[in-house]
Amino acid sequence: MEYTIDHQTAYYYPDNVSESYTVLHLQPRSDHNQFCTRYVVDVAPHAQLHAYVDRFGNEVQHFAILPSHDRLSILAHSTVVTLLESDPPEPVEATRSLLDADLQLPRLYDFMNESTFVRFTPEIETFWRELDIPPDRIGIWCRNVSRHIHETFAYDTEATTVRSTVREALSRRAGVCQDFAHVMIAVLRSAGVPARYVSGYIFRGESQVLGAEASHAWCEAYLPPHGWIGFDPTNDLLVNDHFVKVAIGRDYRDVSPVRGVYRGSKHAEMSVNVAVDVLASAQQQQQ
Amino acid sequence: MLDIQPATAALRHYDELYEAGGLPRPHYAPLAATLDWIGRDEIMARVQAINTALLLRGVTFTVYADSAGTERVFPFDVIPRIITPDEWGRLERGIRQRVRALNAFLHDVYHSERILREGHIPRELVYSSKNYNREMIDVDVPRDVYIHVSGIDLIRDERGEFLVLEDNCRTPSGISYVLENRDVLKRGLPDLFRDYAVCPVDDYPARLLDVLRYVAPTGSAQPNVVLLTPGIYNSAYFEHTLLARRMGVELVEPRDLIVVENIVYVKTTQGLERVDVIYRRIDDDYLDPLYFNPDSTLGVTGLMNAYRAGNVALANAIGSGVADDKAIYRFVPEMIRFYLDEEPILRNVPTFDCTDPAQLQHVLANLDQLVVKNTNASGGYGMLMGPYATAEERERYAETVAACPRDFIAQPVVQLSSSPTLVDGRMVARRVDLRPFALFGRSIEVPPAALTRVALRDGSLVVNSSQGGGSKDTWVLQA
Amino acid sequence: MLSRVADSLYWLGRNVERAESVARILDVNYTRAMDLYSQRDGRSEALWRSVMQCAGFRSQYKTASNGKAASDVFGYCAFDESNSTSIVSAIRIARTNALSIRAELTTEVWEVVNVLYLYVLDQNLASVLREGPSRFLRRVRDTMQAFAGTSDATMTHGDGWSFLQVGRFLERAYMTARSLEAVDVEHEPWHESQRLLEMCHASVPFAQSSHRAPDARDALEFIVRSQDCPRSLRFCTREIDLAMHRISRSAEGTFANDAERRLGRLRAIFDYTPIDEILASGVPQFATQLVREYEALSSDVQAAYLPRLPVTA
Repeated sequence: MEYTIDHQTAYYYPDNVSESYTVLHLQPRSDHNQFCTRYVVDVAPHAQLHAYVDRFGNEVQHFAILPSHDRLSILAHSTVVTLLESDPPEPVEATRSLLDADLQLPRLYDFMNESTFVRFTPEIETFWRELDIPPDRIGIWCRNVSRHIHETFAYDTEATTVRSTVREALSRRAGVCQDFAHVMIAVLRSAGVPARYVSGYIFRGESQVLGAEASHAWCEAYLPPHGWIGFDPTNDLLVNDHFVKVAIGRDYRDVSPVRGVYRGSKHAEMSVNVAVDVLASAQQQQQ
Repeated sequence: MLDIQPATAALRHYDELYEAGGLPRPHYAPLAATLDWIGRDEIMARVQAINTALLLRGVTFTVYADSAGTERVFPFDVIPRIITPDEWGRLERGIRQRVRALNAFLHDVYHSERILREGHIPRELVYSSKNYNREMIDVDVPRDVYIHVSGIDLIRDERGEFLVLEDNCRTPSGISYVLENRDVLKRGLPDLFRDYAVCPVDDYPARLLDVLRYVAPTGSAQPNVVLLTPGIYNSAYFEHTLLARRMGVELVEPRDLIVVENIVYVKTTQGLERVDVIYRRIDDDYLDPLYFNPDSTLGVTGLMNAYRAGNVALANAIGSGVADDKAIYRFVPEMIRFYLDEEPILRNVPTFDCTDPAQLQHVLANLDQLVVKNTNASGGYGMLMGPYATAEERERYAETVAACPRDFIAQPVVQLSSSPTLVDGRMVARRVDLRPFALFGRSIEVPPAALTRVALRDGSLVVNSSQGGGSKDTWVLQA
Repeated sequence: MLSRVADSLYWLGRNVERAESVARILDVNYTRAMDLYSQRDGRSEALWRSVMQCAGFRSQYKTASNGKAASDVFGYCAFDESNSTSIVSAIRIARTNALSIRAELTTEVWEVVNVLYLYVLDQNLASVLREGPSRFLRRVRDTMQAFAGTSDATMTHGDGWSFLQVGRFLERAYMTARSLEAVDVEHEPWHESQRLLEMCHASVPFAQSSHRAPDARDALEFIVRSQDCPRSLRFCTREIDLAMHRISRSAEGTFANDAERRLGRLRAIFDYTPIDEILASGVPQFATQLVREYEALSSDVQAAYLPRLPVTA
């Protein structure tokens, strides 16, 4: 599938701010599952963009606006071709013994331990004890975890904030995609399965998927021999060609789409608008 | 006058002054004679004058535990500590070797991880270090130098051999005391120097400036170097002002700097001026709120971006603290063998690894004979001196260690060497350590400017300024 | 020079001058108040109220009894840490600024400030009042005057020293304007103008400058327009202007920033406007306007040496 994505973030600062420095994780990744063919960012007031590739391979841009300003708008426009199947196979071959024998494992320390948002609280273990103990076939177990979160958590945009921890989401059994992903990552990591956070987009299409109105988030587990497999606990889906991957990290903190520091009052209004559309393919145009 | 009382603790230790036979070592004999000749009363009068001079100069440090943030004078003992050219030569070689290996280690852990891949150091130990800075992965630093300034803490064991107690690879302080101690002693008790050829210390700032200029990324002939201080309430603020003044560079606070399009500038009355090199005396966490502690109001926003882009040099490099993590310490001899293919010249103090269950058991069972240190603390904070602690203190400490073994290491109590010291007008033996400083630029140098700290309390083995320690002028004799 | 260093030198200069001015004002009035102890006509109350006003206390000040008033006012103006213009506060602020630019100061200048700071830390209101405040006030004034001498004699007379001068003379002009505002010369002309002269350290120069029997208006003119008296408004404003021009390297009679423009306007008043015209709308009105002018000048000076932040083209 080929998508165009418009991701607009706007801030209004009633008391004016200055020296604002902003870091963006908005550029879709190019890897063997998808290819980003176009990416343009417009910033107002005008700013010079600088770029680097972070340690997870994410393309990062950053900019600064130094004089006093009361608004900041960031519009990221990208075009992405996704190559996954629409109904990918279940990771049935993944086993604990294959994982334990995997040579990559020692390097995955960051995806097996706690991070800012992912904490191994006692509640995490209690939560996954509601399921079966991870069997040797951990691919299937990951699917069960995803389903269990989907079934026992309420999707509620009021329940949590962007700074909420796993503990808060767990105690309310509610949250948004970010919380669902964090809970699943915490469960997988505390059970010894490497897991990482993915931020991106999901195409709504005809189906009633959740998380399409803004950027979406899900979880990837390292499951040899399949490699990294994406699970979306918000919709209980295996990641397919409706998903566009933007950035990977330990948790939200590593990949928040727009992050910044400025001088001035904390008081700010923010709005985010995301539109994901299917681009008519060349073939369809000929018909 | 040098007829000193033995230390009360009847433990065997190396005596810097007396040989086994009870005679002063040859290099102390002229000093002993001079002290006798000057006489006790005169010396006490001079001590008084020297202390007044130190207070007026503001040679102070701030005590954090004290809520008022009181400034105190670092007690200065006028009896110098003397190091022979032979002893110094060996220390110099040993420190150069050690710093070269530590620097290679830092480059390695932030790039190809060879030492981890080949299994010489456990990965978890590096990745779990609080000072392993992930923003530094794959970042190239100017001239591949990470540890521009280091302070290597040494103690002498019972046989007089210098052992490395810890490495300080972040922002080691103490050099200002070295410079000021020498200056006030030369003015206050010039006679002491009469029979000695002591290596001068006052070219240290010029040598440090050479190092800082060498790492300037722009290749500019006149790189702009600044010294970045957290401000007047920092415990080492006096040192920052002294070094800035002696090097002739601007002493800046974070609010004086601004990053514009990935280039660091300093705000001056004539406009913005580009900065090439920052000798920073602020911890990593507080350098840039955009990438590190977001709650920090200190810091230069965007500094990490400028650094990553190669537009500014930082001394020391961000992330160099992983090399002086106390849990990594015991692997330094291994690093020397691995990177340099040499045998370590200076030995470590034997160290127990609390992350190893068997060793942890041993540590917990023998707390009364061990020193236990927090791997992420310095300055003598958060440490347990087993033999001197109460049973209750040990019990409480054991619980903390068992809860988080990665945060602790344990070592046997090493009896530090003793040096003659004036306390309340009497000459007594007090325990000392030694901190030479290494400068890493074009090459690694160890200027003969070392800090001797002395535990002023009888029998105490803790020399930190925050724990009742003082300092001495350290004489490295010319060969 | 770093903008922050310039700023700290400016505030160091201001606070040193402030400590000295407040000490002098207290000394003058403490002595004068002794003459008024026996009188119950409210003059002593008015005197202490004017001191409070000089020291920056704006709201209505109520006195209890004369003896109590003296120690209240003295406590507030000398030792109250919540009053940023008290002697102790001024010395503390001066010392904090000096510490933050320690590398820019000579050892001698630093020691003058540090030694006085250590001295005032040891003092308290009760003991100072017990032994009579003169000794304490004298020590403060002496040290602060020594600061002026030491900084002139040991510092390079470059931009840093010029910023120090700007601070010192701006504070001096400001305190003179405040004294002018606080002392009611029209109510009791001769007596009050003498007090004003003393508070401005100008009574002897004034007496020497005058060859006929002087009146209160002459005294006012002297404080405003004297060419040579180092505390006259004209003198101080000229010194600020010269220092600012040394820093900006712009020619005298031109301006490079808002501060220099304001200074030019002020100098024109002091240099060319007849005193009767200056005071036409009333002394207190003129004084209040001046106080505002110097406050605005202070902001202008600070703005002149903070770099503007660049806009991306």
